[in-house]
Amino acid sequence: MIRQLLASRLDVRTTEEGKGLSARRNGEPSHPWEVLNGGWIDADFGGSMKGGAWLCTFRPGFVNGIDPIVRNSVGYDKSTRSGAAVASDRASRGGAQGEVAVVGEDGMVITATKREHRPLLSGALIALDFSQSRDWPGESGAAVPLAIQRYGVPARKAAPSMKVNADLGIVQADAGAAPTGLAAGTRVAKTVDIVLGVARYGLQESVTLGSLATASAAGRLVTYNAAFDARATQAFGFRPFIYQMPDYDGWLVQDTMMRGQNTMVQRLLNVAPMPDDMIDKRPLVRVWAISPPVTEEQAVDPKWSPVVAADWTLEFEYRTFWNLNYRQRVPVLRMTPMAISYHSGLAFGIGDAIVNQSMSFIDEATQRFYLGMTYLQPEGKFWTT
Amino acid sequence: MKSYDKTGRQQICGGPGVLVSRFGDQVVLAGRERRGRIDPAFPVLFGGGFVQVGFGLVNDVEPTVGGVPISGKDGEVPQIKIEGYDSEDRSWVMLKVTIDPQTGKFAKSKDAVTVVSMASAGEQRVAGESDTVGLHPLAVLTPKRVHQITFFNLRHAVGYPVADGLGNFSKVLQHFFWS
Repeated sequence: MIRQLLASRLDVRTTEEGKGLSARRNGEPSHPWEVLNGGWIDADFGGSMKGGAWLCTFRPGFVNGIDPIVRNSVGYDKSTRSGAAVASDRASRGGAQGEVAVVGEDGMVITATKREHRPLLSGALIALDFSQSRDWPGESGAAVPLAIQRYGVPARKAAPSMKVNADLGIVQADAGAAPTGLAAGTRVAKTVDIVLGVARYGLQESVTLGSLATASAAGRLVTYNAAFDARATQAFGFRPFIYQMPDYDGWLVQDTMMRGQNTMVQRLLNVAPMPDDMIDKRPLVRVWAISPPVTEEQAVDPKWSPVVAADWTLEFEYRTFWNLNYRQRVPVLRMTPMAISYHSGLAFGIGDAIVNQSMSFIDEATQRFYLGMTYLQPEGKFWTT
Repeated sequence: MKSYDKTGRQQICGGPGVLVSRFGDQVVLAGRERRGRIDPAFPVLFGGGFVQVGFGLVNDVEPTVGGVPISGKDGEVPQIKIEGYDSEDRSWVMLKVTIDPQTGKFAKSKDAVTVVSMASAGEQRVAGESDTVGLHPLAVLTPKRVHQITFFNLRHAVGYPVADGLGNFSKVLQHFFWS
């Protein structure tokens, strides 16, 4: 019997599993980037979220006074029809198969399969994608944090228990142990990291070694092509953006070369094998999804893999509390890439080669500048305001 | 919230915001202490097309509007008219500092440190910044509410960045604000 001592601050919920306790949120101070849980929406969000998804948005946060764009947020529109009409239409099309997921009181319709880039201040929603999460608990790597262990998630998976086979004189795996490494009654967790990114100015560069015939025509044996990496301007207009990443810590320190991405440590050591993705990142929050207790059947089923569903619990591990300032390390350079060569047709082109040779020192200085910029990797810095 | 101890009895565990204390057979559950709202520096109030900004400091200087400190003087609190909204219905309340480029310190003129309303703001770098003028966002207004950006008193400094590999300095002074 649980007696409620501090009635104003505790909620006691009676469920099939027993009593659930939670502290009310309204006493906690709100801060920028705070996750506002939109709840589980039972609709086809496509990909790994065919059965539904957890939706969330954020209390607005700002970088240099600008609210970020939420990448791939769930699309929604102002409906011209009433909520009842949309709901009946959805039912006639066979439940969640239709595009329309939810009709809000204000007539806003969430379109489950549509993805948009929307500003955070417009209340953009993210459908949380846990499909690429690491295993929590895992057999190796980082242990589950204490706050999550309190829900009943073990710190690590039990190592496969071994026993001595006296007949054969060897040590072998205990066939009686649960093949999932999980005891019934414990829980598992999945995570996704929400990350703030700023696409920085930079240079893309390529080097082409020409043939002698090309060289006599163009005046150079080696051709450099340098251009500003303009993805930032094209997609988001130098605006910060929010997106989901399976594992920010993995990107930071672990060896993820197999995934074709450099870690930050590799880049600091200058051993990064791949070009940088030119995005300065700042983690906002790690979202933990905690499963209901593992059943006896699931614990002994080697094929069982947990999938996030409506009966899971969400917990938020914040990494950024305040609004941010951002500045790139070098001032923005506005230059047109130059490839200086001279075409006059003098002496059937042989004169061109000579003139170009004599001008090549200018060319070389330009190229050195561009190469320097490329290897400089002018990363930006975030600080609180 | 529920697990079993070694003897099979139901055991109560704490969780986020819930503290469990045991005194013999008694178990006391306590919710997290109710905390107040955060009182930011430069609190921005908004209404009737005007904003009013509360007390805050930049390099230990309180901004003024028309020579009156922003937190008020003799019962008079300065009001700043809102300049309008951009295409996404945003409007900015900006801290504006004017410096003497020779010394890098605040200029001696009236309202050298002040608060202004702007209908637009740059993204990589605040639009309207120059050698002598530095800008820092205090709050963003939407037609229905205020989003406070700055929560702390600020420091401000300026400097010329090195623009190339030869150690030459850029001619454009950069302003930095931090808490």
